[in-house]
Amino acid sequence: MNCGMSDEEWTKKKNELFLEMIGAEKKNLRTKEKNDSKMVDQLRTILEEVIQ
Amino acid sequence: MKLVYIKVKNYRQYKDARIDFARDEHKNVTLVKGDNGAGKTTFTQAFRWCLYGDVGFDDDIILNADVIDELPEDKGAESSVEIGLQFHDVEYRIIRSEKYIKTSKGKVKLENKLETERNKLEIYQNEKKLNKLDAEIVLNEILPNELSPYFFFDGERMEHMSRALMKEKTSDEIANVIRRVVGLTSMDKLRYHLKNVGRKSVYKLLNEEITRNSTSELQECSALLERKEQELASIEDTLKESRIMHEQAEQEMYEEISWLNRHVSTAEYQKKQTELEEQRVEHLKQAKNKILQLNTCMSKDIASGFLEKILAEEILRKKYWKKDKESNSDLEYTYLTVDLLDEILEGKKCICGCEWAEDNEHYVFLKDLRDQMKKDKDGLEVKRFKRILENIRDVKDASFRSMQDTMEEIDALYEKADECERSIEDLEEKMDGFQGDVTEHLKRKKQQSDIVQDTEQIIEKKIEEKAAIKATIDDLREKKNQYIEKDQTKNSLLVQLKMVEELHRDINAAYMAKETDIRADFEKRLQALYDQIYEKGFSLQISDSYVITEKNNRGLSEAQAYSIIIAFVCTVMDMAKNKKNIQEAYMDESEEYPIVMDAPLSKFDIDRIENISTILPNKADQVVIFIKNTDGNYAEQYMEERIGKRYEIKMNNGSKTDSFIREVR
Repeated sequence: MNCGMSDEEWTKKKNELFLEMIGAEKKNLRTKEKNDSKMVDQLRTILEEVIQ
Repeated sequence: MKLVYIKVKNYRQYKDARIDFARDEHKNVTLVKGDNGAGKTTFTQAFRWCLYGDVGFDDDIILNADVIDELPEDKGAESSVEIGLQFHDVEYRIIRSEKYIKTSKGKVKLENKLETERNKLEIYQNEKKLNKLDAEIVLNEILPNELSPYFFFDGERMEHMSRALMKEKTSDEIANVIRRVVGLTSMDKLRYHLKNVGRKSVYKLLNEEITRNSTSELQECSALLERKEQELASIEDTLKESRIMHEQAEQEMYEEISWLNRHVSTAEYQKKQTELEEQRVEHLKQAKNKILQLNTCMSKDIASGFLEKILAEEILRKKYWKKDKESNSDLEYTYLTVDLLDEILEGKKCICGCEWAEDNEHYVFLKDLRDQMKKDKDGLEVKRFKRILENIRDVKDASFRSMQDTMEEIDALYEKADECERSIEDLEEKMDGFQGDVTEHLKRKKQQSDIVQDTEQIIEKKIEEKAAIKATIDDLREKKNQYIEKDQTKNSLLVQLKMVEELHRDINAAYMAKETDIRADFEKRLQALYDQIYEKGFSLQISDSYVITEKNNRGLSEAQAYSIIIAFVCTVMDMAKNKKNIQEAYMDESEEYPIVMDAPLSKFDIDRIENISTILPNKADQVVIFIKNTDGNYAEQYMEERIGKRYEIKMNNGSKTDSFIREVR
């Protein structure tokens, strides 16, 4: 039920996604960006890129 | 981050002053001593003004008063603070300045009236000037404003924190600081951005995309699912609120129970005291009634029959009785003769020797008696008369006895009332001036206990509702997935949705576990430092809502609250230092910070000053203490080996508008 991916692939993708996303959050924290909406859009883009 | 220097120009009472900070690992303390009013607080506030533009004073004009006086009309002058620091091996110069102008009317005003542009911030990175945006980013990276109150704090700040601690307030601020220091802020933000209720999130965006241009069944299912998810969120909110309320009420209830247990003897004493007081009042009331009864008896029986009793007694003393020789009676005199009565009446003297007036009631009584005897030729039988007299005496004696009994009863009642009063005084001594009101505490305990029971019921009910709605949501999700799977074009979105849900769940679980661990670690470190600063045997705990309390609810004294603040700040530094050794992907980068304190030791005795003076330089990378001379002498003595730089602040010729700083070697 991992949408055609093996468990290993699925976990790898998930870790990759987490690292990308937490990296973006950390950068955001440093740059004092307080706009949550922009951050959500950015995370949505990361998600699309990693999954595709 | 290490502070290198601070320079102030035309800032408040300083025209031109500079402090270079001690940066040696072993001699990391800079001690600045000064009298009250010399300008210690001004300096600590200069840090915050330079870094964040916070003024911290009521007076908006920061330009030195002497400069203002000497400034010609239509001319300008500038106040500035410059801080030199090292951050990640890079040198920074941060300069904030504010320009003023003197009008033709002699008034001083800001050159730039716009609040957002009233002052200018310049940051030089290795002597290269940064643009405005970069400057703000770098500044936030060096020391975020929300953390700064814990590293640059003055007396007012400590007072504020102390009050919050003593009132046991929930502190989001403390929670944020802990998260920030240990590097959990990004993780917290990420879980929020991935999925939350009511706001924009990645999860919400994906759902919107999936339902857009989809079949009516899918749209309906999605709409229903969204509604159910909102209902679930609302239940979870109520659950959370109820749990917090339950936790608080339970805590307060235990506080009351603990108070009542501590004062169990007092409670009993107070109860006994109330009973004794009631008894005392009752005894006095009864005594008063008896006195009234006695008065009535006096006026009725005694006042009207007193003389008759005396007379009867005297007559019965046999003085006037003739002996009845013929009878065997033990009476000496048997008959009272008319002659004898005439003799008494004519003598106009009572048998007791008092002279009688003719209207005297006893004279009248004897006269009537004599007349009766004359009329009754056979004379009055003395025995009968004697019986009358005896009756009079007995009745009056009974009254006397009754009155005597009543008086004894009154005495006894007064004695009992006195006894109650003595017992009350004994109890007061035992309570030793205790002022609390046990009844009030019992009432509060009852109130909190009711809240605990009510919230328990709500929680139970909401848990059931939550389980039911969760089951519905699971069904709807399953159904929705089936609809989406039918639509091949949505497959990619479904994968993303599944990934987001799973990632959110994982992060949430990891975050909760980390936060629990960190809170426990923080509590342990805080306790250890508090033990070192104040005393052992006082257990601190940090609740889920980040309230710092004492485990046995003994309440905090001012010195204890201040000790906790110092311990708290040292713990934050300790955690930050420790965090540097842990490099985990989910954590934010962390940094050690210097600590700048204004007169932090006034609230402590010498022993505690020694403890704090020993701990601070070990926990903080760099310590800058502004301190008044008296406390400063102790601090200087105990920190001697760690002091790298010493300064003193003086007022120029006692002027409050002209202070200067000089290094003491």
